[in-house]
Amino acid sequence: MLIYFQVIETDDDKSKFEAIYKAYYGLMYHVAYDKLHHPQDAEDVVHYVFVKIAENIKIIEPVSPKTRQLVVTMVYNRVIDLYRVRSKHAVVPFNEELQNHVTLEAEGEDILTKCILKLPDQQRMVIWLKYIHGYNLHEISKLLGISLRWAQKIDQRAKKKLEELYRKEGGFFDER
Amino acid sequence: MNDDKIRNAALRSRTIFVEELDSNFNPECQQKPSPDFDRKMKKLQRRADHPLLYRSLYKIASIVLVLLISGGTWITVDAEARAAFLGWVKEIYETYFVYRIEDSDSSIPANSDYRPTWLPDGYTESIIDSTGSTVMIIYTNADNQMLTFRYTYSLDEVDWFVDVEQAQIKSTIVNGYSADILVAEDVDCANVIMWTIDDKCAFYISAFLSESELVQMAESVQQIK
Repeated sequence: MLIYFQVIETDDDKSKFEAIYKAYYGLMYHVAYDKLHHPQDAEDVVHYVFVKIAENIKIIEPVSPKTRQLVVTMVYNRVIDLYRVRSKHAVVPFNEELQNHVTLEAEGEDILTKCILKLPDQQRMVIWLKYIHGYNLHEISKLLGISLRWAQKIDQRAKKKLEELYRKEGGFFDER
Repeated sequence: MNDDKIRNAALRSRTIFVEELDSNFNPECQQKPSPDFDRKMKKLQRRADHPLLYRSLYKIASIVLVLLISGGTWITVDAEARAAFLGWVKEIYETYFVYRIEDSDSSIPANSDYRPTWLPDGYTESIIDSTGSTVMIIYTNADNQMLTFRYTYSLDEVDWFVDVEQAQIKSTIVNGYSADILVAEDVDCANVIMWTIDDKCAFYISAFLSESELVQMAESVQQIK
């Protein structure tokens, strides 16, 4: 596969990748298996995410709580991709409203936090990558394995949806 | 909503989300990678150890890919009514396409109603589901085989994810409009035909029918309201 080819070039990057692998393989497998209940599928998901990590190793931080959360959400994102393609029919309509696969208790959290948690999976992932890691849309598209145009579309929808949810929940916009 | 506020909320929301996902994880009882997984990772490492060799291969593969894509584009432009197909975007997304319309004015009225005027023998309408701008009608036959007819007239809100890993894509024409037929490789999967009309309305039919029957049914679709 072509995806292997660019990847890790320096010893520092190689050490970083190996540290991430050692630190998070077990956790990533756990998250994937918990959703898929199939060992081979879970390993395929984890492998896919490691390839993405390798491809983007220069923009990924070393082992840290932030990186831990990143890899877990990348695994989850890949699992959701699998859900989408495993339909009985060759074509499945993609209803973003139905794509939030995790039920979360967010009582006591501020409105905006709750609204982000209510976003469809892909939109929420883009918000996280953009605002927590500061990735641009080109970087996000590479990390998620999607086209730049599709990343732009998701980003636009995420902003629109987040504003809608925020207003609906009684959020107040300070226009200053 | 300023960026700092969103950033803080993003941080908090992801923490909550990840805590939910890893709540049962026990670091003391971690799954060990299988031999197959180890092999894959070693392969990845080998390629990382020889970046120049693999970069050269990548360049060669890229050139071949560009040649293939160029050829495909030429055929597409030459053989299809490209103007009619304008706006029906196919984004490659790993092993499947995303079909969507971009920058559509969606001028079809919301109360437009379409139906196929030809159905294969034995199929009767069993379910009609209308959600927002999308209408889905399911027909079934005595063997409980389903035939799904779906259309949408608010194109900017809809994406269709199409698995191309298990299907062969062919081009055809439906009443002068370009269409894609997806022939499923799995006999338990239905074949599909998808097309748009004048960048205003998108249709798909999913059924256990042959290619010619799918086209026949697609060409029979008419606006009834």
